[in-house]
Amino acid sequence: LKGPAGTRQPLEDPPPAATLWVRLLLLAWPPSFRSRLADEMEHTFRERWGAARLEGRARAARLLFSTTIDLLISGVAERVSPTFVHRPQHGRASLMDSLRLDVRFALRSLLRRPGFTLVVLLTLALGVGANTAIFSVVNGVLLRPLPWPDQDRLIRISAADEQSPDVLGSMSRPDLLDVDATQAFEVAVGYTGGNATLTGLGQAEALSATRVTAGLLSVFGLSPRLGRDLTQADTETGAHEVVVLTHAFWVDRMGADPNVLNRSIELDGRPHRIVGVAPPDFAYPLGAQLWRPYEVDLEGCGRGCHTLSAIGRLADGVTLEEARGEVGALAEQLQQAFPDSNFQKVFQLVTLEETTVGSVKKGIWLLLGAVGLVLLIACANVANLMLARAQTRTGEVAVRAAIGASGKRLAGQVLVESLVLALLGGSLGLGLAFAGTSLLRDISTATIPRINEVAVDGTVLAFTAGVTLLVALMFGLAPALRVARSAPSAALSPLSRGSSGTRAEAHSRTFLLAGEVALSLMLLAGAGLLLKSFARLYAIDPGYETEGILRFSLSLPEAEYPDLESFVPFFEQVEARIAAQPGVEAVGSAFGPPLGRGDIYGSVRMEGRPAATPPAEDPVAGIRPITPGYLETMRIPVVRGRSLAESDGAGAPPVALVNERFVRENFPNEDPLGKRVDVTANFGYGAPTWTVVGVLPDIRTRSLTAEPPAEIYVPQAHFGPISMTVSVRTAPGSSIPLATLEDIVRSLDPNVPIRAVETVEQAVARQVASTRFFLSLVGLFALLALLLAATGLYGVATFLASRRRREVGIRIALGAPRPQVVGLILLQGLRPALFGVVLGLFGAWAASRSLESLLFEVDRTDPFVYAGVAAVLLAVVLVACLIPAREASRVDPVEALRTE
Amino acid sequence: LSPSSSRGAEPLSALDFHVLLVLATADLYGYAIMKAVETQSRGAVSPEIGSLYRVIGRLMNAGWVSEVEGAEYGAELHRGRPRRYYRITPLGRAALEAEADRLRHIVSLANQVLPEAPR
Repeated sequence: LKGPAGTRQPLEDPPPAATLWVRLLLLAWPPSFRSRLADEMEHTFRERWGAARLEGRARAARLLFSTTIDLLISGVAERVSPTFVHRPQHGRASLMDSLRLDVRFALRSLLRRPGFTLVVLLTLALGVGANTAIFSVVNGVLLRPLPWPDQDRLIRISAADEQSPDVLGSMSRPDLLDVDATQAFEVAVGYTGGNATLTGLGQAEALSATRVTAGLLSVFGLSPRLGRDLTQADTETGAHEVVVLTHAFWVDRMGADPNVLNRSIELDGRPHRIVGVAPPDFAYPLGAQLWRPYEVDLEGCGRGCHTLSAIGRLADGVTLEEARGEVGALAEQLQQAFPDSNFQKVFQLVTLEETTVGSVKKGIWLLLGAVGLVLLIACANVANLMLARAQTRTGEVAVRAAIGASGKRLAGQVLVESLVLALLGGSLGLGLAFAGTSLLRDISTATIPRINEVAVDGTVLAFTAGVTLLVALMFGLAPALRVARSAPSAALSPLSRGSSGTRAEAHSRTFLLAGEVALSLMLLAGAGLLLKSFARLYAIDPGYETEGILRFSLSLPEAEYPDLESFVPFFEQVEARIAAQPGVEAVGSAFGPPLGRGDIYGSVRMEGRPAATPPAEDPVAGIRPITPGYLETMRIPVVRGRSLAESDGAGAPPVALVNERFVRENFPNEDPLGKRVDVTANFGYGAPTWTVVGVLPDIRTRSLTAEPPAEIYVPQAHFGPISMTVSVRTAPGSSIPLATLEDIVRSLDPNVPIRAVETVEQAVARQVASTRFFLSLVGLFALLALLLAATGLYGVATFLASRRRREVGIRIALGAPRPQVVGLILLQGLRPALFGVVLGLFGAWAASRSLESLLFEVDRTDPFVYAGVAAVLLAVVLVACLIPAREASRVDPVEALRTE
Repeated sequence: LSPSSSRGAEPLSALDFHVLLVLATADLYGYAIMKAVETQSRGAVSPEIGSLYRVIGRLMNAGWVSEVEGAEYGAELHRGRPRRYYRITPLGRAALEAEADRLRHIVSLANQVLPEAPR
């Protein structure tokens, strides 16, 4: 015997949350069925999941969705018409029995009104689903601790200016050593992101190789898997050809060889001795593949040279506040000792957790707030529908009251119905949340840290269950109370049909509608403000061309290209060959291109001015090594003087260009042209005295939104470095294939990989990614809110219009003109809506404070945005009320009166 | 319930019929039934878990299908628990044959009325 699914390959088990979810769904089935077949069903689901998972994550997600729908529908069907024959049990009706009866009754009555049920379920599913998805982000990113022991002892150390203490910058090595020497820190380590080219293990490959001033493992309280961690001694001159591997690198590239210690791998053309392997799952900073010692001799400057990111571990028994006090005192001493380099320089301590997620914390809580508003609107909608329904059911309630049902029993019945609706809607919502969460993961990888840890887990399920119950109470309580109160009187007038309900009901309906409109307006205003910020961000003129430029980084092995004479011609050749390709308009290289990686700062000294004391404490500028074609490629204009030329290469006098801020800071009221400048930092290939020949505008090199620092542009031919980013501008409509670029580089040296390929447009998009992310979600929620509010208004307006059919009939029969009747009914919906708009404007104004940090060059009270969204909302409201009003005015008076 | 009296007279649903038909050749467990039905119907009938188990429940209730503990298959364990197989009963086989007869009859009727489809 062989079943068609007789394959025996090991299949993946569904995640526990999915199994739990299926078990929850099975609760929709009658217990008699469950006791016999639920285990089998769950098991079958697991097998199906395993098979689906082989076809990919999307297939498995689809399976989960279709199973959810099917289990709910079939479960309800099974309850309504059971397949197993029931043996009725005799005995007195217990609480459980009456509950069971109520549930069955509720299901039947909901199935009898499929339209109403569907609208309510969809509304609730959207509300609960969106909330669950966003909460799973809150949970995964903000609530769950980082995966390291004692994470609250891990502190990021940054330098800042007293004038702008929130702008955190890198540390200089001497400053960091002083911080490390205080009692506050057990250990403090600096690092720079870095790259290395791996050769000798197959094809040349670019690696993420972090340079550290000492081992990071001790900071994180971890021990190496093999060998030892890096130490400060490794960073001293001549001793730095050692390397510590991440566990992943050791497993993937070295085959988890236990004898790997003291073997060598070739990085940048030089052998590096492996001295240690980190424990599994540790890679800091994120994406690091190996760690190398920070080369002290690379650093040509002292305290003014801020190149290190720093992280420390608080000493035992020291609180963050105490550490801040101690480091603050140190900063003051340094300010006095080194008035130039440490002028107004302070050190900021922030927990690692805060730096990891701090930038998005506000945004994520804001999203939870926004999506909470959507849920409130959904609840208001459902409550309105329930109220309207309760009114049409007066007759039914009266009959039940007349045959002896108590008010309490009737109210219980209504509550159970709300609960059943909420549970079904919540279940559907959870299905949506599974899909939504994986969608969020996909669209926010670059924006939200730790997003890969986001999943629907136990905490999230508990949150959803809580929200669902809350929702049931929110929209079920009012109708239940109404029934309980009206039951006795309803029995006396079984056939009374109110015209449009009591005054109290009219009030609660007005209140609900106004609330819905107000909440929608708040969301729309938030979306509007973000949209305007986004437009402003895109409208920034960065000062250089952003379109049609492709760029990539080249990093040559130092062993084969030891000096300027060897690597400068290499870049010249690369540029010349690319320039010869069809469609290429310009090509040029830079170290640290706009919004790209790589950055070097150094102290600058003007010739003829007294040197600062001590000598390393001069003003600082960003140094931008470029090739002659670079400025033309980026279309950066020269404001004064001349640009760099091919003739400024080797052998020619060293010239440089500076930006306008450099001129303002260092040559106020002086002509900068012809001035001679020394730069302390260098890459070890040369540090001539530069003659300024031109002035460039201040372009946004480091970020789109921040003012650029003082900058000096120097020709690579006199300065290095060996790593450059080559930018290629092509004519509009043409492009250059990546393969062509790879061929060109490979033809010059097969051991040099191309890496970090991107367009400048992509770099710009990265800058606006987080604004775009929050904008698209808040925008989505605002649209959802608008849709819900519109359907809610439409539903209520229609209901009210139908209730007034007779009255309208009489008015028309008595000669009232139809437009007047339209106006009458229109007002009924418009009045609460207008009230809601006013309320919403106040609410939006108050809530916009929380949005402020996400806005860019837009005032949070921007009147145009507020007026715009109010107009949009009013237009939607008008349409939602106009349709039923026109409908009502077309009523035939004879027909309307006859139905009574 | 007997095949000729209550149900045999009524047409079976497509899913009921397919499930009985795959069980007529072999005892199968739940997931295998789903795959077999899908293959047999060339994808026309691909049941979800809930719908399938309602049919299985109904067929068991009618006495057309019975459960067999996996022990009969050498106590085959799957993920730590014995698989439960379903087996068609003589009553079920009779119902299936009655349904097949009914379908054959319908097909022969159709063949008389409609011209042979060109192949």
